[in-house]
Amino acid sequence: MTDVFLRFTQNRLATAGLAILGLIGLIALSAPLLFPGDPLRIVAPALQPPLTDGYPFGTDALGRDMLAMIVHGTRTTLLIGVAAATTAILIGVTIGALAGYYGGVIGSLAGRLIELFQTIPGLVFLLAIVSFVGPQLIFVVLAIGIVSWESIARLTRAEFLAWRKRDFVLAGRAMGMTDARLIFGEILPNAIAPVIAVSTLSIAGAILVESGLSFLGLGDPSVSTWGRLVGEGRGLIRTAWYVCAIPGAAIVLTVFALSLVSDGLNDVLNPGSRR
Amino acid sequence: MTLLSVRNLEVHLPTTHGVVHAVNGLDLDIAAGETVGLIGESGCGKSTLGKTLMRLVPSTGGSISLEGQDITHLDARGLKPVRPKIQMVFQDNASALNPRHTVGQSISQPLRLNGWSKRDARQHTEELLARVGLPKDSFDRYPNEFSGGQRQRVGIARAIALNPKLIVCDEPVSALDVSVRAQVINLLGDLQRDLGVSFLFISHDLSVVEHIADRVIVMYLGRIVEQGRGDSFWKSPKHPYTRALLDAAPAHDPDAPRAVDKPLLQGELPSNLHLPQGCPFQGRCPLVEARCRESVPQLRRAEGGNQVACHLVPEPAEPAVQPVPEPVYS
Amino acid sequence: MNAQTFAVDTPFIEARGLTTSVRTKRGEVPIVTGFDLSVRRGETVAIVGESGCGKSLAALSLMQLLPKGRARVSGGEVRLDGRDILTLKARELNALRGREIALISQDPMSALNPVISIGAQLREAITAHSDLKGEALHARAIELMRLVQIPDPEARLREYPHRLSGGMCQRVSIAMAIASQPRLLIADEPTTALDVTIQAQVLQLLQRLKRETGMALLIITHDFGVVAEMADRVAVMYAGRIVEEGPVREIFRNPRHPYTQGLLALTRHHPRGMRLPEIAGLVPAYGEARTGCAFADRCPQARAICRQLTPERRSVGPLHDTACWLTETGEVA
Repeated sequence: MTDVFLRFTQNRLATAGLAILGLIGLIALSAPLLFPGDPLRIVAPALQPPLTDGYPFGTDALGRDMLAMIVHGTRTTLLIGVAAATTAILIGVTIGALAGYYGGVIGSLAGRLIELFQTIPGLVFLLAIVSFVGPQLIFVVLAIGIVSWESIARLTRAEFLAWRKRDFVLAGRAMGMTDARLIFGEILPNAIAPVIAVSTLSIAGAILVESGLSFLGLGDPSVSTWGRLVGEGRGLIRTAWYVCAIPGAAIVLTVFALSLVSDGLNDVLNPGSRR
Repeated sequence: MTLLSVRNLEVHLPTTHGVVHAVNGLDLDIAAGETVGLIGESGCGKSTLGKTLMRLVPSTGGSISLEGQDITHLDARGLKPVRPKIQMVFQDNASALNPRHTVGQSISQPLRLNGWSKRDARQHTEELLARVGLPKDSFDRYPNEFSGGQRQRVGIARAIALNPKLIVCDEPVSALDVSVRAQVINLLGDLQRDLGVSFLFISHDLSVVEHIADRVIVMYLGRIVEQGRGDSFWKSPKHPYTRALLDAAPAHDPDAPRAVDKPLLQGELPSNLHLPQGCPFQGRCPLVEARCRESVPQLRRAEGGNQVACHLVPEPAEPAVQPVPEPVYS
Repeated sequence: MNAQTFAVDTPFIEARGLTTSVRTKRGEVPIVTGFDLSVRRGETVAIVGESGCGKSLAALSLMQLLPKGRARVSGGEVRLDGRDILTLKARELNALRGREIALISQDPMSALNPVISIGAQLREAITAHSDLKGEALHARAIELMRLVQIPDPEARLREYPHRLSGGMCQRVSIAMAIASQPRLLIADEPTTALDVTIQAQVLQLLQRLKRETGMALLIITHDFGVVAEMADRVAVMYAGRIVEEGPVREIFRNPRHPYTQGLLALTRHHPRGMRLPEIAGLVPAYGEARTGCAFADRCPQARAICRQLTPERRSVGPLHDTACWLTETGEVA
C-alpha cells in the first residue's frame, strides 16, 4: 500500500488534486468554526458585489453572506456526494460481482439488470423517484445512488469475468471454498483497484447530479448545497453573475480535483502494472 | 489398491457454439502411489478430464469413485471431506496464485479452511516451504517477487499441504524454462517417494511423461486410444495415432532423419462439437477402413502388453502374429 | 552442408559486437551484449536460450525492428551483404525488410490482423514489394497458399484469422513472410505455441521451403529438439551473450560450455525413477547486472576467476567457440 502511495505522489497533477480535496475537506470540517451561526441568516444589504468589506464573495438577493453559505455548503455537498457514491458503489459492486462471477440464471439476471439501467435516462428516473418519495436528503442520496451504480457494475463485471478465469479461483474451489469466500476473499481484492479509481469519479458524478437536482429546485430545501446556491442565483445571472458563478466555480474545482485523483489512482492501480 | 476409479465418464459442455464433447466414455483406474501420464494434443479433453476428476467441471455421465466412495454426485457439503484428498497443480504458475495473497497465505489457505489454527498453519507452511526448496522468508512475500519455477514450487506446496492421496498435475512444467523443469520434476518425484501420493500427470511433452509415468494413457477426442505400462508403452506403441505422436516428437539428435524426409501425420485434431461415428481418429488415420467408420473400437489387449482401441490392431491370441501394417501417408 | 563450405561462403548477414539496450525505470540496460553471429546464404542457424536471455531482442536488432523509444542498438554493427544496415534510413530499411529479410513470430494468432481477411493480408504482403495486380495478384496468393500446403486455398483466402487453427495461422504467416522471396527468414519460436504433430508439420514445411527456395533460416528457440531438427549451426545464448557456437553435430556431441552441457544432459533419456540432472539456481532476471561470467552462480565448476572477469569467446575446435574460463586450461573435456 505504501508503494501505491509513493507512486501516486509521483504524479504531480494527482497530488495537486489530492491537495485541493484535502483543503476542501478541511474547510468542510471547520465550517462551524469559520462561520458560526446559521449561514442562511440575513446579514447585509442584498446583492453586494464580491470584495465588499467583510463579504469577500458578496451577498445574495436576500442579503446573505455568500462565503458563509459556500463554506457550509461544502459540508452538505461533500456529504451527499460521498453518501450517494457509496450507495452506488455498494449496489454496483454487488450486482457487477454477481453478473461477473456467476454464469447461469443469477449471472444473466444481474447482467440484464445492468443493461436495463443502462437504457434508463438517469436524470429523468432520478426526477421520478424524488418527486414520488419527496426531496428529503436521505431519499435524494439513495436516488442518486440508484441511478448511478450501473457504470461501476459494468466495470466490476468486466474485472470479475477476467479474474474468475484465473487458476487460483479454481484452486480455491478445489479446496472447498464457498462462492462468497471466492467472491469477497479471492476475486474482489484483485478486482477492486480499478473500481476504486472509478468510484472517486462517481463522487464527482454524484455532486454534479445533486447540483443539477438542486438547480431545478428539487433538492432538499432544508440544506444549502452548492447546487442550490447556483439554482437560486439563476434568475439573477444578468445582473449579479457572481451569485451563480461562485458556487459554480466551487463545484467545478471539486469535480476537477476528484477527476485528477481518479486519473492518478487509475494510473497507479492500472492492470498493466499488476502481476 | 485402486485409489481412483472412473467408469464410462462423459463430459459434454454446452457452449454458445454447441455442445463440446470433451470426454466421451472413458474408464480410468489409478492405484495408490502410481503415476499415470496422460498425453494428447490440446483439445483432446485431457485438461477437462483432470478438472472433472476434481469435481470442478460437471460430468454428464458415468461415475468417479475415490477410495471406493462414489463422488460423482456429491454436493458441496458432501465434497468437503473429499476435497483434501485430491489436489491440483496448474500449468500457469502466475495465474494459480492470488497476487494479493502472500505466498504463506496461499499455502496455508487449505489448512485454515480445514480448521487449522493460524499458528499451526504457519508452522506447517514453513515446513512445506522448506520441503519444496523455498527459503523461509518466502512466507511474507508476494508471488510477483518469484520466478516461474519458484511459483510452481509454491503451487506444489499448497497442493501437498493436506497430504492428498491424488494430485492432478496439469502441464506442471510446460510454462517453465528448460533448465528449471528438471528441478520441478525431481521435486515431484521426491514428493511421491516420500508421501506415497498418486499423480495424474497431464502433459503434451512426451519426454517428461516418459521419465515420470508408471503408466501412460493417450487421449484423442475425449477417448483413450491406447494405454500401457511405462516400459512397454514406449517400446511397442500400437495405435496409429500413438505412433504418429511419437514420430512427431523431435529426436534431439542431429543425425536422426529430419522431418522433411519423414512421412508425417497430416491434418489437425478435429472439432469436438460433432463427433464422427466410429473411431475418433478415422479422419487422420492413414490406415482407415470401412469398419472404422461404423463402430467405435474398444480398448483391448494387444501384443506387447498395451491396451489399444483400434480395429486394425490384432489381438495377441490370434494364432498368426500379424504385424501391424506400417502407416502409409499421402 | 559441411563445415568447409561454410568457411568459404561470405556471410549474408553478420552482426559484430552488437549491443542492444532497453530503456527501463533505472535507465538504459544492455540486454544483448557483444553479439557476434553470421548467417550464410542458404544456411540454417539456430539461436537457443531460455526466456529473458535476449534471443528475440537480438533477432529484432538484426532486422532493425526494435520497439521505438523502448530499445535501441547501442553498439556494434550489422552488415547485410556487406552493407551496414544500422545507418540506413527508414525508407531504405523498409525496402530490405520483406525482400531481403522476413520475420515470423511465435504467436501466429496475434501476428495476423483479426479484422482483415487472410486474402487481403496476403495480397498486401505480396504488393509490398511487387507490382502485381488483379488476376496475377490473386494467382500469386493462391500459389503461396499452396506452397505452405493450406488445403482449399480459394476458400481460405476469404476467411478471417479466427476461423483458422494455430497451425494454419502459422502457415499463413509463413506464406506472408515468403511472399517477396526473402533471402533470410527469421523464425522466432515458430512452433512453441503448437502441438507436437502440428509442430512437426510446420518444421517440415520450413525445411521444404528452404530446400526449394534456397533461403537462409535463423531460428530462435528454447528447444534443443527443434535445433537438432532444423539447424546447421547453433548459437547458445545465456544472459544476453552467446556462450557457445558451433556446427550442430559438434555442439550435440561435444558441448564445451557447462550451460550447454547441462541443457543437453536434460534432453537425453533418463530412466524412470532416476533423478534428472539439474541445473541449479534460477534463470537470471532480464537485464540483471553482474560481473564475471553470468553462469558462474549456477555453474558446478565455477572458479574464482569466473566471478571476476567475463570470459571472451575463443575457438575450441573447427568453427566451434565458447566463452568459458574453464576451456582456457582445458579443464572441461
